[in-house]
Amino acid sequence: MIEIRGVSKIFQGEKAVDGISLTVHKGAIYGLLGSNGAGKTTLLKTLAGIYRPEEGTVTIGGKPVFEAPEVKQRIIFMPDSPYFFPQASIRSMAAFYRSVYPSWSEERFKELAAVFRLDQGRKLSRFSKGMQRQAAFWLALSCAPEVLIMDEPIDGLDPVMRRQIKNLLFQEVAERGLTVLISSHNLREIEDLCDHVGIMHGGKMLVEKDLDDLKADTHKIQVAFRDERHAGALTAKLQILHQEQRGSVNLYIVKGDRERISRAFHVYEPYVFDLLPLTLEEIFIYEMGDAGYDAQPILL
Amino acid sequence: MTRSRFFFNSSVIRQNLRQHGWIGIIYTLALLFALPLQMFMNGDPNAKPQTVQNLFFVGGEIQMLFAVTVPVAAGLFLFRYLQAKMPSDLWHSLPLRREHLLVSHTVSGLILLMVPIWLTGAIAAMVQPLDSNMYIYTGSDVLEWCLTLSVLTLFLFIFSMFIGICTGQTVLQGAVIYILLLLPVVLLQLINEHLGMYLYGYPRWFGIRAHIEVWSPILHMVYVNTNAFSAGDLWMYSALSVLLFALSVLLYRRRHGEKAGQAIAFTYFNPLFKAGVMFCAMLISGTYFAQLKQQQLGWTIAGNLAGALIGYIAAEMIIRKTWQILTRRVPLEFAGYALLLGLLLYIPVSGISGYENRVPALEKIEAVYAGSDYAANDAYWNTNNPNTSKEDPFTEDRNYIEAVRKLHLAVAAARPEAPANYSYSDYRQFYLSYRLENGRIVQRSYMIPSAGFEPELKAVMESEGYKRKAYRLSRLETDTESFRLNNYNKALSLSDPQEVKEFKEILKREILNMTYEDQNLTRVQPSYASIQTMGKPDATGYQLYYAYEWQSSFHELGAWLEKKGYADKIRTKPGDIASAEIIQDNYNDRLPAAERHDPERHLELARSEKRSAVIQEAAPIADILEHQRYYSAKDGDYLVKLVYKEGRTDYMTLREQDLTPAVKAILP
Repeated sequence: MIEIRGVSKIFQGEKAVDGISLTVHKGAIYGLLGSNGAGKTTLLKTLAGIYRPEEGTVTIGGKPVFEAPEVKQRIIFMPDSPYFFPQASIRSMAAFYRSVYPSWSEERFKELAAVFRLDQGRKLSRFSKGMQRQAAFWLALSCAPEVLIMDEPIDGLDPVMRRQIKNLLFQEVAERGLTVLISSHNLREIEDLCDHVGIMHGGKMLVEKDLDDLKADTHKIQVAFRDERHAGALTAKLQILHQEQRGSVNLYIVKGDRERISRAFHVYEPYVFDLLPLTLEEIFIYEMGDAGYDAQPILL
Repeated sequence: MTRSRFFFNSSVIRQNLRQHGWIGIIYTLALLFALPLQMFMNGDPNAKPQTVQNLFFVGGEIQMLFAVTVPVAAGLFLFRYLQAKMPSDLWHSLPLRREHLLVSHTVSGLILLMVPIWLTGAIAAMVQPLDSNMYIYTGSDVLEWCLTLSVLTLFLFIFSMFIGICTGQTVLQGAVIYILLLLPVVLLQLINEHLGMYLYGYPRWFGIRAHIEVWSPILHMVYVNTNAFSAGDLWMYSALSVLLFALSVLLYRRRHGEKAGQAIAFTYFNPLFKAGVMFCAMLISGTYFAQLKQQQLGWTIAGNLAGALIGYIAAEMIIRKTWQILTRRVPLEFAGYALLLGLLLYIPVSGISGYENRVPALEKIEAVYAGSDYAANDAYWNTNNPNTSKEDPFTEDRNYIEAVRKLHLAVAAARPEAPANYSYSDYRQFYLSYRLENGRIVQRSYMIPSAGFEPELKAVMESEGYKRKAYRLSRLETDTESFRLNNYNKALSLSDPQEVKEFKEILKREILNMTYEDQNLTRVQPSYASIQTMGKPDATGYQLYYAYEWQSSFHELGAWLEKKGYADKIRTKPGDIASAEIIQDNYNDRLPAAERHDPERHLELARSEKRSAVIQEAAPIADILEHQRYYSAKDGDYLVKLVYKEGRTDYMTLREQDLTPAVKAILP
């Protein structure tokens, strides 16, 4: 379990991460969202034990990460652009990781050779960016970490490989209880991967949500009432996040149980009643609109 | 399992050797070229093998060229992982403690650097018995070479690492390494200039004679041929390496990973860096403008301010990594730094310390030296040349101490200054040094004019203590086997032991009997001949010799040479002169500055005005030879051109009072 408590990180007088607290449970896939400069990378590097926070604590399994090899042995950090030793091949990088990470699984490494069809003896610097990314995944997964921290990992992967990797991650999570942290500036990219999402902006955490809860809990309703007064009566009964009127049609974003909401509307026998699931993007736009942020530039 | 119970990680070392192995290969090739190969490289096929004091004599400069660059390069490459973002992230995300990373990288570097040294040493030892080897040395010479180079390499590598920890850019790291390794020497020289310029009586030292190169490891290495590293030096560098390594470990623990790419890794070094750069720039610029403009106050202040500004801007740009540094804070901060550093430069020369007026109390002085050539008593200071006798320049005679002290008091009170174009005959450079009872040495240096200080100068210069040191009588007394007298193409040897003994006694007596006036005369009048002492050759065939002069005041010496019949063989006689041309010199104003010191131009002008006389008569020529002074282009004096029968020409000066009736008679 990853615990981040009140972490701040200052770069040249500016707070890149400002008092962030975060909990990620074992076996969760946590998506960290935010625009460029939001502080995602800094937070992930602090979590990986690369940076020492100015304030706050970062623990994994109850132990601080920074300068603690026994904790860091269980973590793999994948930077936003893959980096390997100069002149290294997959084989030599594997040899290095094998000697540094005690949990290295040779078996896993060989299994994955079938997934990533890359030349193990070729110099990594001659690979394309996407191939380097695959190599990084291959090496990371072969280390059999308990925590995998990935900074913008999807960039440069083709859709087939993207699918493959997602499946691999799901498999690791299901079989070994791998905990994953993924950062991205694009919600749609990780929508189908994460079960938890946090949105950062200006070094702060704006929203943190359990996606399954969110999806089950928030609904978009298009409704045309028989009488306009019905609308006023409804707002008192339901937890409405957002509402707007488009001609005779009212649009509501409502929190709550689907059945209960449906019943509440049907009392007024509206001409039109549509209860739709929300995309994640919409949820955040409405949630953050509530918090006083214009979410559009943050999310896209 | 990782071997974290050791302080290093073997896989990290393996990785480093794979990545940076080329450094070891280059160092090996370079050292093999610079030592064993040089032993067989000799253009002269008939040259005999020579004995060497140490193996640095074999292509020492080439060896050192590699020895000062490769260890630093190794430090730059191995610790590149601290300065570049991506390697830094990778290395610091690994489950290794920073101590392990540091020790592993250090060990990798030392393997890459030490193996070549000892391999080269082993090969040098193996080729030692070969016939074509041009050098004679022993196994212990090889061992000494290996140890010396190992310690220096270790020091440079560790120093390079230490600077790597403190900085965040490889380029800056490299620049700072060499700047800091040279800085002590440059700073000492600048401070020496600064104090010499503003502190009256400060004894400025010059150049390499002061052995200033020992203050910079790389300069010392470059001069290894003339100044070898002693065991003490090596211990010091070893100790410094250990200290720097410990500091590196401590600082590395505190270093933030995100400093990769920043100029300075620790913000608390920023003020030090800024002040250091400003201080150096102020010293350079201030000294430059003050020297160029004869220390005019406006120029001096402007020079220092300009230096401070340039230094501040440069440091600020490096720290902030942009040339756009102007913010509201900048002028205020600059003013603060400039004021503090200005005070730091001004206070030592301000007179607050009382340096300029301080004359040690008589009862505290144990011994004294006064003379023009303190540094030339290199026997005392230059401990590396085994051939020079170790003579203590100090004298303990109380009367002499009192005389020197009185001269010092008079000079410190009157503060005479020599003008830029002072005449050699009017001013004497005097070093006054006191060895105090408490062992301290107080040293001053002054340009003392004869005018106004005659009684004090007379008291000092007529003391036996002064003459013994100024004319180096101790050298005459010891190991002189024969004398050689020279006067251009006339030469004469005295080797009969009895004659040598008599001559030595008389010469000594003559020197000790010289009056103040006699000694002044030697500065304007050429001697009759130079007297060279020839010592006994030492084991290597090196023969020490010292030079004295047969001054015109040495009447007893002259009479002795006359009696023995040597005088005629050595002195210039009127018969040696083919002709003499004499003019009264009034032409300085009519000649461009560059030609004023060319006597031939003066003569040409006089000839064109028909104001020159050429004579061949013996009587006036004899008078001219008797009264001649060194040539100086002063209006009103007489310029004489002597043409010798052997073809040589000589220019000299006569003053009005030197003119005998015979000479006056021939003037045009």
